[in-house]
Amino acid sequence: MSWRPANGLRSWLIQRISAVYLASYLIAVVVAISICFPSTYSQWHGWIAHPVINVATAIFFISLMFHAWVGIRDVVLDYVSPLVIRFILLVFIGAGLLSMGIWSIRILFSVAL
Amino acid sequence: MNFNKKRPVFLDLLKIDMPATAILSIGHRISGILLFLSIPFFLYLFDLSLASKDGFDQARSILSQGFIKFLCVMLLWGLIHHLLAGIRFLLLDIHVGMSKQAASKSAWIVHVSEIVSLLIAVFILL
Repeated sequence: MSWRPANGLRSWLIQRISAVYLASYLIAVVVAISICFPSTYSQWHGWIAHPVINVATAIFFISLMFHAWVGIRDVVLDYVSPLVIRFILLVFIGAGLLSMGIWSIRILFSVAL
Repeated sequence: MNFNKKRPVFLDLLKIDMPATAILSIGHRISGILLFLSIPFFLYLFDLSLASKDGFDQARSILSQGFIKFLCVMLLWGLIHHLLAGIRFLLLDIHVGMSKQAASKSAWIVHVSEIVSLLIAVFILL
């Protein structure tokens, strides 16, 4: 897929694929906590340190940042029409989501080690 | 581009008929914005709760404050609505429930099951 400035189909696909992952992960979390709720620190830490959960959660956070980017970008494009303000907002939101993505991976990494 | 600048615009939200599908759709957008804004708060709690045992206890005490609990219930509504309405939108994407009656019915199903699951979740978690 070649990169083009306004590729609507790609955004549409990113939003849907991330949505399916986010929904599946959340449903799995609901099932897991209703079977066994991690009420102590060692239990909670043990969950997140488990390789499968750690990687699945990393994919969750990455999907979340992409999903939020497409969704919030749509909202900004709909309601903020002055181009300068729109540009500044999108830069801030993009930088924020990128930082939060890196932050989440750092947390997961420090738990796994 | 040559738009007709004099075309009529009617955006009185209190007078526009808002069927179940419209409320679901705007709710999806509002809940999405709320969830987006809550990401840093929950990442902070996630970080704190995993850093040490003290951090875990601190995160628990933050979550037990009244105002934070209220915020969490709002966000829980946002999450449940966004999830259920999102599943409905994904089904519409693959052309399930496209007729007007089916779309209206599924919107009602989302509204009702959203309230029921929110009540169950709040009852269990609080």
